[in-house]
Amino acid sequence: MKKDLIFLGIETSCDETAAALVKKSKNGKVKILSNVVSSQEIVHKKFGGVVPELAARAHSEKIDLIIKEAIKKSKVSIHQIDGVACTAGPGLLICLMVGMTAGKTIASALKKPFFGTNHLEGHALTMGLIRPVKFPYLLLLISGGHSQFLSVEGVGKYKRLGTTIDDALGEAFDKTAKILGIEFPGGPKIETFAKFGNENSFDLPKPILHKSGCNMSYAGLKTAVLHASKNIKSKQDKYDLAASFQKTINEILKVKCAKAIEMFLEKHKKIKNKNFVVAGGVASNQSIRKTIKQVSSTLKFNTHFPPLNLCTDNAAMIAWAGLQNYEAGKKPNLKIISQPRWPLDQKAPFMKGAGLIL
Amino acid sequence: MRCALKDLKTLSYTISKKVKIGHTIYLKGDLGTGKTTLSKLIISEIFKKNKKRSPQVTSPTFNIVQYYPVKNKLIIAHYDLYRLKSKLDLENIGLFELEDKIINIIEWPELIKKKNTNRIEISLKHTKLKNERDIKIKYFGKTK
Repeated sequence: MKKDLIFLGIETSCDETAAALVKKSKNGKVKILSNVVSSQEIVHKKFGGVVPELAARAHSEKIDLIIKEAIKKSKVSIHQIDGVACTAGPGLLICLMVGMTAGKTIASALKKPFFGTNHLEGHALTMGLIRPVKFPYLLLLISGGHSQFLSVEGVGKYKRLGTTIDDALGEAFDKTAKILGIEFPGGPKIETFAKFGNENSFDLPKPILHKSGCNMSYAGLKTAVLHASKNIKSKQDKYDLAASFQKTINEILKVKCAKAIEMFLEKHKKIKNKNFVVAGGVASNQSIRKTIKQVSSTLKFNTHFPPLNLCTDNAAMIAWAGLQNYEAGKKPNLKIISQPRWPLDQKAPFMKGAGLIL
Repeated sequence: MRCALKDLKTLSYTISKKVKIGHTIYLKGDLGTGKTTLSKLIISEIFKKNKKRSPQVTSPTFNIVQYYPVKNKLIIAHYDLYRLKSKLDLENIGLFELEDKIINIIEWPELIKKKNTNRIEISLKHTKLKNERDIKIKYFGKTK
């Protein structure tokens, strides 16, 4: 017997405190009933101003407020919830514990199933909140903390095809911004700077471009930007460096995406619906979107980008991942403890790295 | 001491032999001087010393801390305080809760006022050569 399912999701793995309610109707329709994150204006107002980023580390100060707000906005009563999903990892232990305690308490009090959920699984399945994408599909997750290619083969079934061996792509953006004098995290501003610059001014390295499959390395690129920055004098030089950096990233992604697609097709030889989902905050960069779309359409893949509010950290994706785990018949795991380190693909091979010979 | 990338391996081996539970390694230096690279090598040497396969070590900037369990009762915490702004943040991330129970590797430790007693301080500096760094190491407390 099928019925409507409503899940509460909680996310406190890093800077954002977030809660959301997601509903899947019996006809299969998916709807985000509410999606509250601590960086939103409404939350700041209640705190009388912007919550300083790392004071937000004290998630405990506002977790109850955020959950309350999410329930209020969703217009359902807390008793109508069918289950609670909460990020159990990966992330900062002390942050995870706040959300986990809140989530477990609510689930126990309501006598509803609890799902300790993998943050990366949330990102991996996000697209389903917008429209259904058939398994298996290729996923590129590019954010401040993660950069990896995954073959998403079903709920709970993920194969890692490649990863960064040092810095995450978003981190490379943020640190380049810092070198150019933009306050951390300034990654998104690189795109604006790049618009005014000449992308061919600086020749920057592309580490491990044609080796190590679709693994990536960005630490060396960041250092090269630093060296190049020693010679810049004018504002225009800064724009030029930002543009050259962005161009280099695009060139790296072009090669690596093509490689990942090749590896994905190798695994799924008979696949008909070829889909490539790109999630994570960095996917909001328009030039990166353009590059990925190009590569992808040349190789006959459909590209999907979740909207930005679902690309960055949020709880709707956690509620959705929990809901799907529940539907897939996974057992609730109230006893799960926070997992600071929790790779999606436990069997993924280990990479050496940081400029060393692979 | 002038150090090229290939010399870092020897250096990390020396350090991994000195460092014990409750000890802390500070890694100071500008962006791109190789703090994470050196951390990575030290962590991998500690794993090797304990006859374990080394895990993948990536930059902790975003997460602020990554834990690497080597074996029962031996955990390495790899911190990056780059994004932290105040002393309160240090307490919030639990920096002082576990310090005597694990091996701490801390990048950007400048925020810490009350320095750990048993520590190794490593400073990395850029040189005129792209592939070389100027490295200074000081031992304090029981790490001497």
